[in-house]
Amino acid sequence: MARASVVSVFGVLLLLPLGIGPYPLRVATVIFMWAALAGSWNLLAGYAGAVDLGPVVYHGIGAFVTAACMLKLGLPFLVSAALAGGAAMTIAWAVGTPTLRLRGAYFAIGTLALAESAKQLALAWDRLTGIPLTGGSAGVSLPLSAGYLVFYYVMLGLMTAVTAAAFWLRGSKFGYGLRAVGENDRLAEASGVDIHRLKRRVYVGSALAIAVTGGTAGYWLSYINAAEVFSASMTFQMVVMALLGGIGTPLGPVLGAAFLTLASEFLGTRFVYHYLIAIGVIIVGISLFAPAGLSGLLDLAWRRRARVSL
Amino acid sequence: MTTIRTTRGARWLALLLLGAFVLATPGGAWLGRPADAQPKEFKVGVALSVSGIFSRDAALFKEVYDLWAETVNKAGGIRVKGTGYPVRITYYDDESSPQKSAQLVERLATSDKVDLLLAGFGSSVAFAATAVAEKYKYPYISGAASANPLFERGYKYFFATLNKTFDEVEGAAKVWALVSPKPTRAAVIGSDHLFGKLAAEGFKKFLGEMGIEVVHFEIFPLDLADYNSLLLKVKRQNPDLLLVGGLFSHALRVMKATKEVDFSPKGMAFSYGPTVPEFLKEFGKDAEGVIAASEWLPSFPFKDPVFGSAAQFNETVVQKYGHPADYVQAAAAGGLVAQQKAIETLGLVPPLGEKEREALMEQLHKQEVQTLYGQVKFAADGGIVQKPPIAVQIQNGKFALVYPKDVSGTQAGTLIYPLAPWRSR
Repeated sequence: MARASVVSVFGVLLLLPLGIGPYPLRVATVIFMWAALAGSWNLLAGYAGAVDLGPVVYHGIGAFVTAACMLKLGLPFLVSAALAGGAAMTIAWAVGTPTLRLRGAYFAIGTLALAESAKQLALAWDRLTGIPLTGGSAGVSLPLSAGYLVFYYVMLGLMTAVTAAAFWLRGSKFGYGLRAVGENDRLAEASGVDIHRLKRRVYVGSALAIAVTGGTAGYWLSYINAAEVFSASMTFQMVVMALLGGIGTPLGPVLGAAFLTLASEFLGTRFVYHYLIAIGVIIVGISLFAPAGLSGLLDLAWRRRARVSL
Repeated sequence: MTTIRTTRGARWLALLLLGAFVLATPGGAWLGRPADAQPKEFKVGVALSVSGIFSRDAALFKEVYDLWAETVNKAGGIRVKGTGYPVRITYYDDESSPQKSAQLVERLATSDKVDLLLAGFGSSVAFAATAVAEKYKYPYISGAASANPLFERGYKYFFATLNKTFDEVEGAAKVWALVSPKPTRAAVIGSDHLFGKLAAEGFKKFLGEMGIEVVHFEIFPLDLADYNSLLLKVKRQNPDLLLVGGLFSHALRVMKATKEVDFSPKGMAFSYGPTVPEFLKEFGKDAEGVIAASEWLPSFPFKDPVFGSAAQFNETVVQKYGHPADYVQAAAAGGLVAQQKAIETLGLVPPLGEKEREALMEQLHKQEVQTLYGQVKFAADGGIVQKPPIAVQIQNGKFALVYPKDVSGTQAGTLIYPLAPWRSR
């Protein structure tokens, strides 16, 4: 039943561009983008309990590598984005090997520092290395794309892949191992789970998704600069969306991304000067009254309906 | 127990959210607004940074846009073939984010279907917004985006009334050739940001041409916490001049730090900042003698049929908003007048379709218009032509032209040099 409804929603999303104008299409693409980002963050934080405050590292790497492949090597966009994903995975493997050994708050602070230093490195890259890649603070300008439809489908694909991965984690042995790590990593380790390898796999996988999302977003905007693509506010938005939707649930990040994007869209265009306050109140309200997030609320409604029909 | 509590909380929350949305969606419109009942007006849209890092600077734009709409509507609207069409501006908040700016510009173009777009503030926002404007063929005339790379993208719908950043600081560098004894050593610092860095590089190039040695050149991080140690480093080199590239907030903090470390160069110049009204409010007498790169002064003898003379424009801004007009406000006003003039010349009647906007773009490239900001003529890359960059100095709490010697009849005053040391200001 649930599976059928998920598949039909996906089918509708596939055909959606036929029926809506360019603006709703853009809003949908933005939602998919945030859902993919928040979902990738959720894979590690929600399942393995490792709160990563530096996912933007891979967002930035994805954006700059995609841009470099397109501009310097003349490769098509999709190939460039795939290469950027590969580059991010390699770096994530190298970075994850030492940092994932940190626990709890230390891991959070470590990754936050990593993101900030990545930003500074990107800003200084051209000056330090003499290899033009990031354009320093001037950033990199990309050519205009022919249409925005490709971004819609790439972002939809990313969101779907990340969500499917989360569903898979729920039922697989790998996922059980991971959740054991999330609940009590020392106990998990003692019962024979190779916690480090499990976490690193998820970390590398989410780096891939985040990097491709970053590369796609950069080409879509036609302009990237280090201060924007590595900005900590992106991280916080991912975290807020995942928490709002329901951390550790497959559909939570999707719900959170859709809700926050649409709320800021409806309120922002009508109450231009006060909507940020309203959004703040909504976020506080949800975290106070529904700590399990929007997916928790939906679950509750679903269960009550099931009870009534019994 | 907990389930019950959550349920009750959830019901409250659902009610609250429902209430918010009912309030937020008049007429049940979801994406996009209902069609206009009154089509005989120019719908104008702008995504402006109401919040975020550009919010303070962008507020200056909003003042000018509001003033333009009010002035035009009071005069019966934009006159096309004898009929007046009022203008109505829709503002959205881009949160100083390029991503959001692009999204909102697309909304204005495709969902709100505005006739004209106005520009937001800042170069990074302009990069994203102009890409969308170009796609939907809307002229985008900026009064504040001046980073050189913006002009190198080959866009046809992007225009700017400010000089390109690199050239904009020419006056504030060349002015030092007028003083005696001629300064020989200068320090140039700039914030690591599109505009700040380009301005600093411009300063360095022009000083080099004049034979003034740059003894310290530094690009400092945008979020630098400790300006004092930066200025101490500069002070140790003992330069005659300090030239600073950056936004208003950087100018503010550099000024404070020079005072705190008691560093009194003989001359100080900023690419942007001192002309923002808060600067004088903040420093008062301490700001005496500071030089700023600029493009416009209220004393210039320029005028147009919309805002009147430069002096009148300044007077209106003072009366309405309580501070003198900044030059980016005049630059924005010049762009508005140029666009309005092009509409009148072509006889375009709202609603404007793609073809009309294309004609508007071509007319903007062709025409030469007198505005309160001076002559507005755009080159093929959208940059303004023949606009001499000027330098102004704060003298007795007002801005006086100090370079070049003469701008269309306005004579440059005598330069205050060297500056008084901090202790005796």
